[in-house]
Amino acid sequence: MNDVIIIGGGPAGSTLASYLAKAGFKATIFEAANHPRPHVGESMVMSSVRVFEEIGFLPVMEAEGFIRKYGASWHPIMTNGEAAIWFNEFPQERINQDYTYHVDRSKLDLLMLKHAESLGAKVYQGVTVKKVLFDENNYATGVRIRVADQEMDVPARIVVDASGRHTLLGRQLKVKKNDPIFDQFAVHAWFENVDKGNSDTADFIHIYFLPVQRGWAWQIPITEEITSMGIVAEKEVFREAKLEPADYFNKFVNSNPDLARAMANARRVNEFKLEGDYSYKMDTFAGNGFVMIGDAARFVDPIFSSGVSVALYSAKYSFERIQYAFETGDFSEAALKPYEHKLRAGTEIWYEFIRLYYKLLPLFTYFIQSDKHRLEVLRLLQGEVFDRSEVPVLDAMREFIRTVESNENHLFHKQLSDIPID
Amino acid sequence: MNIQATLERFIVDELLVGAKKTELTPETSLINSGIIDSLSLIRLINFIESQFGVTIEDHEVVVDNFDTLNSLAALIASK
Repeated sequence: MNDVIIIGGGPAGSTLASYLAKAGFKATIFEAANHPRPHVGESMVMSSVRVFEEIGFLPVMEAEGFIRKYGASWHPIMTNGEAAIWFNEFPQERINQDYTYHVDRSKLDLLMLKHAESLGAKVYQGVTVKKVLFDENNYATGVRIRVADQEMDVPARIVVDASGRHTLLGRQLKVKKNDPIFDQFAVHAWFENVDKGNSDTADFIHIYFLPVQRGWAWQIPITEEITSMGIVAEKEVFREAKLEPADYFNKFVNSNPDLARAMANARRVNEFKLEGDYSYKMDTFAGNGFVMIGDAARFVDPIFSSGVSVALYSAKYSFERIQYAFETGDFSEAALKPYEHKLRAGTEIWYEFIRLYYKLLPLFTYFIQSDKHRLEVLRLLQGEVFDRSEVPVLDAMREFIRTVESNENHLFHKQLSDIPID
Repeated sequence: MNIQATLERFIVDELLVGAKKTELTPETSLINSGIIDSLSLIRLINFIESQFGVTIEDHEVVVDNFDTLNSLAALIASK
């Protein structure tokens, strides 16, 4: 029998399979697609590097020549208003490089899947999982798969849902909750000939503020020639615009002078893709004989490139509990729940940070330019904090927002948005 | 260079680019006229803090303190 069945061979599933295979467990991935396949989420934070190193994948990242990401840059709605951060300002323990990566996800995900396979995990592509099977004691016991026209039940001690935004198990158990605040929508495509600007920051991720609530654009270099560009705003903005994706996209490109300049001679090389309904969480993501990891557990918002990192750390932390479960023979919810608590603490920090960011946009720019707060904000942006008590800067942000809220004459007062932060 | 002159040099050289470049008087309205937007304001605050070694408290970021070179100089001098 399989020790662990993993539903989905994206970064979360492949990372967990790699940890498990390295530790000698029998892990099997069922992946519905046939890789390579495209995916959104092309930029990473620093903390991803540590997990790549732990599973022995860092040499593959280097050999593939993915674009190195040394920092991030924000562009307010004005000309030449760029504010940048460099990761090397805040070195992290046990990470021996000062950059992370931008990736073509079709390549990254395939390479990670192959890596898991090379370590001994079994990988089946083109296999759809219909549902997770449970016994009369509500323990997950395996999955029902469909191959060609045949359905078949496959048993396992632990079932892991890594099905990404399909959220297979979350939907089956009816524990998926859409986020009460965020309902964002993205329109994106790849372009050639984007003017990436000043050579120091050309290969950074560039975030351009847009003149609508929670509106921004991303610029992510994929190769020397190709750049991923995306427009993000509330879904309502897209609905009310009543524009074709291309016209909608162009309208917002022209709403930020730095972005308009970057795109002046750009040429689109693939179709526009639309993404929505991606802000949600599961009420529970660890139970008797199962865990959910990566986007199958939770996703909030792409603003800080945290998605892949959260996926990798969910794999790392769930692996620790799965290993414990096999050591003790206890596969119960109680044995696996510490994983959920740990991951939830980390994603809640991102969630709080994201809400404070959207609450008062100048606050973020103010904090990253202030000597007092800059390094702490950088630390948050690196994506390694899973303990709220380690990030008092979030309290400083709240304090600042309270000051601005309570004083109508404060120069940032008009820029407060209606996002609840408590 | 006195406080006002230092502030004026920074605002004109660093914050006002291209078409916005203009002469400032001690009573030119910086905020209400839109000469300084919120992002420039952040740079101005950071400049003041590092240049004069003072701390601008969060609650002091109001029009009364920031609208003219005179009011800004008074704020800094009061520290």
